[in-house]
Amino acid sequence: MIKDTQRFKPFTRDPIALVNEHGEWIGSFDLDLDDDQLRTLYRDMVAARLLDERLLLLQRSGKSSFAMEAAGHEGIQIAIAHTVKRGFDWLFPYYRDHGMLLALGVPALEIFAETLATKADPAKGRQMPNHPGSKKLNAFTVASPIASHIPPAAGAAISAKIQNTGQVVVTTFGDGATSEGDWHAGVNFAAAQGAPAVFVVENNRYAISVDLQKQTGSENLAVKAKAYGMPGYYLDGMDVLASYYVMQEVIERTRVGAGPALVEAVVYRYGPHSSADDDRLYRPKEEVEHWKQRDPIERYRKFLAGRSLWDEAWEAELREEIGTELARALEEAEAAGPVPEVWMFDDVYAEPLWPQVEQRRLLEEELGA
Amino acid sequence: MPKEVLLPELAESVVEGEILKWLVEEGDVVAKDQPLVEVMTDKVTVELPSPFSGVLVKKLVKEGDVVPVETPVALIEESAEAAAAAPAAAAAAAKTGAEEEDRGERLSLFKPDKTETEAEVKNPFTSDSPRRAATAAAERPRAGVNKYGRVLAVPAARQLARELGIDIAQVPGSGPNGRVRVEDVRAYAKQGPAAAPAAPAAAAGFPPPVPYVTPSGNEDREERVPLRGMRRIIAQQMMASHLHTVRTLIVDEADVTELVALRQRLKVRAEAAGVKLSYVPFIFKAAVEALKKFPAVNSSLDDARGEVVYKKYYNLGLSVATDAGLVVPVIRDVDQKTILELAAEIGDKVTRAREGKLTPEEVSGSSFSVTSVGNLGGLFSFPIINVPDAAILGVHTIQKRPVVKDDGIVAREMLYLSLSFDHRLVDGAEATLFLRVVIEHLEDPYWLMLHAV
Amino acid sequence: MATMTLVQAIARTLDEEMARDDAVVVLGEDVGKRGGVFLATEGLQQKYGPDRVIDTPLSEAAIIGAAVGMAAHGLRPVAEIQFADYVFPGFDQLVSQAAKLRYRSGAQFTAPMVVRMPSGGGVKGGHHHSQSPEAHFVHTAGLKVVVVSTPYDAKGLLKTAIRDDDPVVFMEPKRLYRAVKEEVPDEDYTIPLGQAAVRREGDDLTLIYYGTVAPEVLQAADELEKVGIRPHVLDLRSLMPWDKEAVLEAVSRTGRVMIVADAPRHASFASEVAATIAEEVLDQLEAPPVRVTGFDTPYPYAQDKLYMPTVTRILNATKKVLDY
Repeated sequence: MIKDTQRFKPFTRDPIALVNEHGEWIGSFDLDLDDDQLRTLYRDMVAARLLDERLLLLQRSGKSSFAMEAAGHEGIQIAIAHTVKRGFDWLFPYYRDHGMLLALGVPALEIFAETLATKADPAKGRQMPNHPGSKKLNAFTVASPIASHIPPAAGAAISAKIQNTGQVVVTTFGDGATSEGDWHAGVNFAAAQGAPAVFVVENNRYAISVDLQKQTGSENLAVKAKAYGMPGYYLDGMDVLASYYVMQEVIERTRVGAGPALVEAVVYRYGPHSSADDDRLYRPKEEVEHWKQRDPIERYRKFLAGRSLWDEAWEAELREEIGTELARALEEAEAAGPVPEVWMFDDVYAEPLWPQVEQRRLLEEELGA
Repeated sequence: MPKEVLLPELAESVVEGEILKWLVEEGDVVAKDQPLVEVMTDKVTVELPSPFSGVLVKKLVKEGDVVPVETPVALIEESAEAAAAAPAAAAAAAKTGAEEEDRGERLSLFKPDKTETEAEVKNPFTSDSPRRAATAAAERPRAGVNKYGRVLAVPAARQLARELGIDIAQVPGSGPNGRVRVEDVRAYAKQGPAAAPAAPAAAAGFPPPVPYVTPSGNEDREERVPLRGMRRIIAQQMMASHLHTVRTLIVDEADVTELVALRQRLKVRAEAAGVKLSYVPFIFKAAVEALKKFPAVNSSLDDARGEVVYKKYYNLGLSVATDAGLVVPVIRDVDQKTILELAAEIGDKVTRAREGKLTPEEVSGSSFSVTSVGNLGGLFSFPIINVPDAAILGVHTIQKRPVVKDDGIVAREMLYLSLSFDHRLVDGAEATLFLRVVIEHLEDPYWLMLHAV
Repeated sequence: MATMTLVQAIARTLDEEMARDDAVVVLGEDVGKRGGVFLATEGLQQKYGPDRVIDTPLSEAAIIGAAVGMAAHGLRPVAEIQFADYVFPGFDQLVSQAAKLRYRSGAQFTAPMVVRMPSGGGVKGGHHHSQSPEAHFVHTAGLKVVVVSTPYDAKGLLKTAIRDDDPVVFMEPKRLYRAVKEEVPDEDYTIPLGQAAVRREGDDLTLIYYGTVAPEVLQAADELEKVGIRPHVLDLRSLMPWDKEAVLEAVSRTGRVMIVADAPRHASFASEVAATIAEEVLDQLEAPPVRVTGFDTPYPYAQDKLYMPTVTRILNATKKVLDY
């Protein structure tokens, strides 16, 4: 149901925020989330951060080949997980969204199994780390080519519209993606069709090393939406509550037929682009430090503390609990064992064609089966 | 079936036109491009040309009508001259709805070329050209080889040769550069005996063969038979052997009295076992013992690769006189068979040789040969080497002759053995000693038995 | 039974499939109101409405990519790329998204979709209206590829493609759209993928082809028969999967083979067939497998007629093969 007045306006000069750096509520309306909901948001942010750290450790310890840190993105990612209708709406994520997917309900086991390519991976070890997906939660499996998932996201939204399902498609991607032709193709098509799609840029200002000024001539990314005839919201993605409320409003408006929308969530990526990147080559340590002072988790913690919803003991308990959960999931993922070699030939098509059959036999011979 | 003439889009964005004036009457014969009717639009006044030749069957609109673009304005019954160039299509079927087709054509981007696919097909086949270029006689008498000595042959020919047990290098190739085709292998297989390398063209300086000329007046006192088949091949082989080996003769004699007695004793029993026991298997065995000691006599020269090939197998050929000429069946692995086995096999092959029933692989692959025309006459001979062997052993009559033994003169069964050998591969001393070993084994059959398998 | 052209068979089939299954939708540039630039989708939007026959923006990436999303979401989209030459802006969507979706997701997500495109030369279309890019798609595991040459095949194979649960690239030689007319049965029938059609039987040599060159190959076959040479003629129809069995069988039968197609020579699909023949039935060959293809040049305008395998070129190659 659309509220009579929109709470948030697109194309603001400054990013929309509801909690300031000191953890104070600066929203012009009353917070309508209860304590449990507020604390759950925090828990999920912490879980995302711990997962992130765990995945990095796996790579550093040589168990996994690759890691991409999402630390700094938690605000917008957790908000999305909480504002879509889980298991009903569709998501088209990108490679930095493991925290979001964890909060959405994708088991940590599956995320670890995907990272390590073990049998517990529902995708059967087909891809490198950071390419998760979940049929159950309608999270479209990630593909590496940047922005290549945008046209499919548009297509799914068009399909939802044609079939009148009431679903919304939320797709996330980085600032660099907005330069790809596919991004334009998908956004444009969705807009021309008035499809129920929400395009969310997790703008951390760097596409690997290329900063935003070199990525676009636009003053920000949200304004691009204007060209497509859709609203573009300029949002502080490190403010989880602002992210929550903006996403909620945008998703629900889209759901009831207001058409697609763009949300630019401004975040900062604390780590390098990936474990194969050295960010000292392109940004000063001081800058990173500066943004670490604005850690979304810390900001929100201050907010909760201000409401007596957080204390050290709870923090410790939380970390202990989540830590244990993750450890168990990792163990289970590892224990599942490696994916059999000949699984390589399955799922190319619904049924293998003769080339896969013959080539599988060749490999079996080679392996001495 | 009359065809419709439609009002075309006379200019960009024109949607209709007014019929001003008909220029022809119903029933008139009209030619293609002949003006039919004047049409006025807000942009242009034109004469509409006829798209077809034929007869104007019906005017569908009258002067003063305003008609939209694409409206049919006339019907023309096309005549033969008007046939449009047929598209180069394979399937022929009745054309339905000309209108539907035209509209589709007109509304399609990029219409296919309506002209013929090719102005003129240049057909390399003529109706009297055979299915395949005539397979001339082989360019060369042997398969062509590349600079690495590899045979030029199509895969199917190689496979067929393998199946038939033919050495593809021996097959004359009828293709370019002596490439061997399937039919070449087939033809070769039909001929029977292994083709020998034919004589190459006369090298510079080498005198050509003396041409035969019938002495005048004797033309009808001569019968001419074409040199064909086996006789021709034998002639080729003989020439090749003669030209390409340094044929040298050594003759020695053997006292085979003991052997004769042995054979007498065993002959009947052998025959009861179904085997005709001649002297040949004994000679074969003796020869093998000698070949083992003098491997040069069991070798061949591979000219193309510049290598002497020492064979570790002992396949002995036996010259057999047949009605069609000389045939040389080959007994393989003589060293691994008993004398009785050899006798049986020899008997079988000789019989089939005379019947012309040997397979190509049965007349090829020898490493040494024995020739025997013993029972017909002659003391010793200078046999032609069965190329590419290094030598051939001629065996003649066993005759009782007076010889000196222990200072007395006695009558002994004596046998001359003539060894023709290729002096490039075998030294005189080797040949002499080789023959000596053969003789030792023939003179003392018990010694032979100790070596027999 | 009705007599129809190849493009009419396409239009008829789309209609039948959309009537049979509500999930089938059509999208592409100009497919709705105009009915397609070749009229392949004529009448569909009038019948099924703009929700099922969608006029898309001018973006092949959007067309193909959206089809992936629609297919994953439960529809069975039939996307049209206006000319095969224009598939390249959408190539990544085909290769990275459509082809790999089932594989990368462990079959959690699949893309049952068809991408149709008019292909091939002979229409004075020059560089960008004449290409046959099938090799790129056959080279991409996860895609199925079909190239039809007759109205009968078009209906049967398009139905199969639409009902297939994997992405199918469906190429229609535009030169043949209206050139061939034949009887097409009214009833529902499908032709399986990976099944070649024997156009003529013969023992003397095998002519393998697909798509655009059909008229030239059949005309060459006629010329050969006039001089007593009887070719065995195979229309592959399906390139991934392709009918290897029929090809090897034909080579065993005739010992000589030519593969004719209008795509450029290097790394063509014809090359794949030739290599497979050499690898698997070498001993049957009495001549090398010969490819008669387009040239390794961009598709020229002025020499349009000569670029494609001409009847003369096919016959000259045949003579070489027979004389080998």
